[in-house]
Amino acid sequence: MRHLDVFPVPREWLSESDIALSETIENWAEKEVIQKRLSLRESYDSLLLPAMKSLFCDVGLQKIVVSEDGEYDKAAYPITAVLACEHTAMADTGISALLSNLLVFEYLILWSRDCGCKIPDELLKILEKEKPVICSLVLPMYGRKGQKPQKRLNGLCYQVEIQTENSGFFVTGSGVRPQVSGHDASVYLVLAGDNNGEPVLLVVPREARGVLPGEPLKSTGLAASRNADVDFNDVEIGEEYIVARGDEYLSHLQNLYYATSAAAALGAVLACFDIHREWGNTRVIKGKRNIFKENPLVASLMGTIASRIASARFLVYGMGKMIADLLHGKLPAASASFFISAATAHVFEIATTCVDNMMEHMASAGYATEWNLERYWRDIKTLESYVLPGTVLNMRAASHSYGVKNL
Amino acid sequence: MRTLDDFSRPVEYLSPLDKYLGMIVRDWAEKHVIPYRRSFDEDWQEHELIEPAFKRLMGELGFQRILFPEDLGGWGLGHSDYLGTGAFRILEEVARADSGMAVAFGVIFWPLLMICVEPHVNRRLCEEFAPMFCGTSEPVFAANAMTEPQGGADIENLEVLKGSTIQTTARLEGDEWVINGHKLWPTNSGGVARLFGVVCTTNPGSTDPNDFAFIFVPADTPGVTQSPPYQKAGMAADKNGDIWLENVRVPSWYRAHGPGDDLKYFKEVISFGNMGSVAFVCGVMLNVYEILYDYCSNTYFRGKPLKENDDVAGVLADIASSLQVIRLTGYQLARMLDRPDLYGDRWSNEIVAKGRAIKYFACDRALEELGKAVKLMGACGSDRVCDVEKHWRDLKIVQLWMGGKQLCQMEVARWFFDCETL
Ligand SMILES: Cc1cc2nc3c(=O)[nH]c(=O)nc-3n(C[C@H](O)[C@H](O)[C@H](O)COP(=O)(O)OP(=O)(O)OC[C@H]3O[C@@H](n4cnc5c(N)ncnc54)[C@H](O)[C@@H]3O)c2cc1C
Repeated sequence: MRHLDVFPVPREWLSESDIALSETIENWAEKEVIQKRLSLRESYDSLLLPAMKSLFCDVGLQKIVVSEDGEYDKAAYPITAVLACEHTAMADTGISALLSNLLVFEYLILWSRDCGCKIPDELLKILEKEKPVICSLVLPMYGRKGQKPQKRLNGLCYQVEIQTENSGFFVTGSGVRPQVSGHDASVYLVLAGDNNGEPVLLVVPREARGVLPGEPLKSTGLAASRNADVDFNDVEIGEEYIVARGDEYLSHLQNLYYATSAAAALGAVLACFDIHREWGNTRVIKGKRNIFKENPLVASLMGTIASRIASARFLVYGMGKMIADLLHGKLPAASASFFISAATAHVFEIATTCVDNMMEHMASAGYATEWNLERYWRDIKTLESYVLPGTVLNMRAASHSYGVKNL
Repeated sequence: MRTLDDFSRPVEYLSPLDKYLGMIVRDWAEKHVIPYRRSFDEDWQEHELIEPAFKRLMGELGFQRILFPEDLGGWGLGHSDYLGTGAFRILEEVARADSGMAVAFGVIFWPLLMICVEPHVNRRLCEEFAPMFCGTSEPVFAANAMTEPQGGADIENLEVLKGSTIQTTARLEGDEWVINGHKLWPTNSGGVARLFGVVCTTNPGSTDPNDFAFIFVPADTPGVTQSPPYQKAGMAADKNGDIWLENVRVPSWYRAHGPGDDLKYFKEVISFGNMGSVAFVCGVMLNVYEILYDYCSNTYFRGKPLKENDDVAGVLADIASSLQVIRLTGYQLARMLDRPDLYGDRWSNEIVAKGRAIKYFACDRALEELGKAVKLMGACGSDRVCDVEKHWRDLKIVQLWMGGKQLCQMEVARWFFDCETL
């Protein structure tokens, strides 16, 4: 497992199969992404889509929960998920962001088995196909004038509403911005509000009538995610596509989404660490013979960066462990959710600061596409702005810890 | 309703042309840049969209002439005592629209400062190059070629290394300089500039200030070759590449001043670089303020406009406060360059260090605030639909260039704390 010696995590948190998976992903990264990146840059069709296919279908990350006849140990899943996202991001943060959304979908399937909800067979079948499944989460966001803020969402608004009418369920929302890949999604995993503002988690297949993804937005980062605004025009779905109602379920999914997204940010920073370390070993400053890393001013910032990465890694795997403990009933759900959202915010802060500092050390090389650092820098910032509305996280943390009630 | 013009400036010492220059450039930016800038990233190699805007500003409106003496067709700013404050306003307005354009435009004057500014005007070289810039309505660019493959920071570390790491050599043969070397990254390289100011040494490895040479080289001189532009994180309007100089011959009088004085006045170039960088920061922040004002008034959270939420307002206040301070400090730095009689020579270690202090303070604060703005705006902040991410990407290099933050720190510590060994 990459960098385990430099930035350790408790070994007992990792299974043998996790270690094996980390090696598989490393091989995939080298062969499918890193070797081809110099010539193919960030090409979606030539580099990123084939790499996704190979990771999701051939390595099998989209089949984790379908290949084992429902025998998969749910409690092992969170650590595996963070490890997979971290290692994938070392090659490509965008693919890791898509993986994070996909793993949330797979997690939902694991849950559905326990609680008796039935995920439609046709959705399970797409995971078995030899085509990468692109899952796109749709979460609440800030609203527009006149839109109703939801107290349970700390003042955010649902982007999508679901109406029950005599014969079925109708999904509506215009200009909806998913977390990733609005343009290419195979399925949208949507957190919608029902007639009473209660949260409902539902799956909307891309082919459903009335789903209209827009043109891809020009992207800052995460090139693998061709995001677009999507219209849901009275999309009719069957009851079986409503996979959950209520808050408990949602906090579990949110926990995993936060943990895997933080893992993606961490993986990106670890990739930057490799680039920065190489720079530090070879660059010379202040005339001849002064190796970059041996300069005390430079080294002191390197030390700060390394300390931050070490704590971020511990937090990321700690989140995975905590979700697993939660599943074993070893922890109150509210405490776990608090820790996970707080840790996610912290990991993103570390990731953005560290990559900023590394770029400062590498000056123009850091800013040049050729050295790859700038790509991770754009990716991390993009991911952060999607995953974390900072205002909301702070309010949640304050209500959990200080008992703030009305915000 | 508040506007960007509500951020304070020291009105008692603005340049007399401030109002008019500001109006003209703002009008140009609104018409020729802001409507198109979102597509500039895709235009980084061709400059098909970018070029017409440059032509309008530099050639047709004539801004590329500002430094040259009036009798040579210029606007005479190099002879005025408001070059700093005047330039600050122009650069700020251009950067509000696109900081990459501001850099490409501002760097035209960077090498020309060596010869066009009192008290060290080199009249013969002004006469030589004025027609290139003042006799046309086409945009003409210049570049300041310092950085080399082994490192840019050391070349700018003038007080300590005194040019000893420069590997581009200049050898006098008869009445010609013969120049050999390899430069990287100059703004307006990548095939854009018609004139380079090249930092050279006449004696490699020497720390003698007399061996530092600043020599002008027209881009079409035999022996000059250039690479295509590099791809980078932002600043699409600024092209950067390699320049190779192989036995390039130019007349001996193309050296800006001569032994000792080249190094001395080159420090003034650094001072203006610091001031320009702060102007870019201000321009960017002013536009981010405008975008945030609009976004936070029209986006709703907890049932009211985003800006009416106390916690969001706290973030907005931080951003406004930083801009208020940076703008005032930036104009003050410009004023210090305008009035050496009050503040000291522009090329003195004191002014270089104070400029570095303000530059790195402004960059660090601005990038912190832009990071907050992107985060506050969520998906809208990081997607290319609101232009904030573009400003964030573009501005990062302003913090990194000219030797990077650590060199700034060393120069500031050295001057304020009398450090002797840094
Ligand atoms: C968009 C853009 C425009 C540019 N425009 C120009 C231009 O017009 N002309 C030009 O010549 N160059 C230009 N550059 C190059 C730029 O100025 C250099 O990148 C910069 O000076 C740093 O040099 P370097 O990249 O070679 O890094 P290095 O010199 O290798 O420095 C790398 C890092 O080392 C550290 N460092 C440096 N000195 C010290 C010290 N004394 N103590 C401790 N740490 C130190 C700093 O962290 C620094 O960032 C441009 C670059 C870009 C990206």
